[in-house]
Amino acid sequence: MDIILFIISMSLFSVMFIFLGYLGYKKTKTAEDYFVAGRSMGSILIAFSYGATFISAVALIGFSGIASIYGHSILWLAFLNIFVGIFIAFVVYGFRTRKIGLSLNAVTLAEILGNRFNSTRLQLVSGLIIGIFMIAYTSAVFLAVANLFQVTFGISYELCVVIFTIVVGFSLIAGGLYGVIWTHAVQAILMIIGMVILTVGIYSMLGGIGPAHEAAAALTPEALKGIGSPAATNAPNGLTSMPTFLSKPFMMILTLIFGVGIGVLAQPQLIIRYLTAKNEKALRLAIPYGGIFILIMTFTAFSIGPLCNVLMVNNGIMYPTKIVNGVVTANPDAVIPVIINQFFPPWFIVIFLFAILAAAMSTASSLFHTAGVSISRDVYEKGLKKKLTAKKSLFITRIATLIIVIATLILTLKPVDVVAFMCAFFFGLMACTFLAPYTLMLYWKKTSRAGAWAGMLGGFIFTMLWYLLIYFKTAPSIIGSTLINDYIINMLDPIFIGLPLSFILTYIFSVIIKQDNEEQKMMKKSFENI
Amino acid sequence: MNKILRYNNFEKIKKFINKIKVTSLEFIKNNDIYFGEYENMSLILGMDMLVFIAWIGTILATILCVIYGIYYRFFKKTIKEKPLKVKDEKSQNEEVE
Repeated sequence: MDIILFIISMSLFSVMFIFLGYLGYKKTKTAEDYFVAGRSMGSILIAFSYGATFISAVALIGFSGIASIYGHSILWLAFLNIFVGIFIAFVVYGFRTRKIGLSLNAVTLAEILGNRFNSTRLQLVSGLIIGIFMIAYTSAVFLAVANLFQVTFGISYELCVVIFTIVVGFSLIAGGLYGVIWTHAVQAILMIIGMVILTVGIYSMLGGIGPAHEAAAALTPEALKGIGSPAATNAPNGLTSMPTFLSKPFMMILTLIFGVGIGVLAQPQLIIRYLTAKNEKALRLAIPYGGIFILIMTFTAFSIGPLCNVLMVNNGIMYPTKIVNGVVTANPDAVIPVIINQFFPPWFIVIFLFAILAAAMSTASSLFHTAGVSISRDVYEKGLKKKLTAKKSLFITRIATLIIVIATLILTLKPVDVVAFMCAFFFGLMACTFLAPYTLMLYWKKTSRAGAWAGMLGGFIFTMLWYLLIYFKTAPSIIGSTLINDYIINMLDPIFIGLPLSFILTYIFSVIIKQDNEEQKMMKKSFENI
Repeated sequence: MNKILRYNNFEKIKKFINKIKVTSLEFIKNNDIYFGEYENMSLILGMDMLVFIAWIGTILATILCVIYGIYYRFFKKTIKEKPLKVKDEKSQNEEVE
């Protein structure tokens, strides 16, 4: 791609970001404006912001690549993304979270927990966990998209990282959550355009839905082996069939589906979106927009991944590879870029790259915002019991966000292994740590502070140990091998055990150590709007 | 519990599942919604049954979201919401400027 084209497109993109950041700055008058956009957002903005935060570049590029290896069985994740990630998330969690957040004057997940259980320490620890792991996660998001731009435009990785971080950082620090949500709306539209054209293009090249899927089903392992596709061994029953029950590919699909599909319910950056709604109706009406947005993103991405194999086989294109520690391995992340470069016109390459950039930046801006608010509000202001005026609170939050942006920039420029691990931990860790106390807090009035601590710490420690000692992706890199040498166990996402364990611990400790008088007062206060 | 686990009951369940399988395949054939090769494998729109369920389930989940939105937009116009008691902390609402 032409570097001039990149410079022009990137300049337009940056000007738009900075302009929306400036508008957000003008609109941000109070700390509440910065934290939760003045609790004034309508349904379309909530839906687009939720969706754009939820769907990162990894979800589009990475999961399409994974679908090209494991086939259409990954569509179960698209189902969970919509049914659990949108419908259950809003109906079961969204409305109550908003009401309890309002009753408790809370603007973050950690603050809701801290206020509900009358414990600043709980808020401090929750804020620290969220802040620290979120920096690593944001760094990984930038790393992926900078690599993509480096490959496509031939621009240095460092320059890409610096440009992306400065643009996102400025619009966020100046514009607060107003700036973030408005840019999300524009980014979501760009993402929709990119994914719709890509999907329609690929299906029309293959003759429509039925013929395209039949062509994928008809690919033999020999044909796939011929282009070096890992699907030859990882989709043994064909690209449009489920793998055999409890086989390695089945376990991989199971882990992905439930790790990400259920883990979405406890993501702090998504929970903040419920708190931005101007009323309950706005949240209810966000559900259809959110459902359609996620359908256009994940359903299309997961559907076209396996079809890329058909295009590659039919046109004699080899499956992309990369060199890891001197060994040539398949590179699923490059499947979509290869297909776009080969089969689509140059104007679409630019649109798609900016759609991917939009996906990465929208997720990153939400992560920066949540991490900044966690460190300033949960750790500094509440955890360390600093009495701040609203003006000072806003100033401290901007400084905390700036520090997080700089920390992320340094981590992304000099990526260390621990960042990759922390990123891999993120979804499962958030779910196993927060989902049980968060769910029970919303629906069970007897949930106590002791129960919340037990569920949170139990889930956190278990998940960390599972990733360090047992999980097949992380344990071999950390301790050299996995402790249990059975693939059914070590391929299992910690959410399968950690989440029930966290629920059990929260329940048992809430029954044994009951609420004190202060906790009961806060519990009554939290339910006064329900 | 023992009654349920009896061998005869397992046989009955097996027969019942088989009947459903045969009936649903016949339905698919008769209604021309079967695009794969009949003899080789049972594919619907080129996908096996479980993948097809995920595929159609994703679309149905979206339709559920849309119907939910339509219901609350056009049919249930008034959502009963208690008057919210909020913002008892003075600092929360202080103007910055």
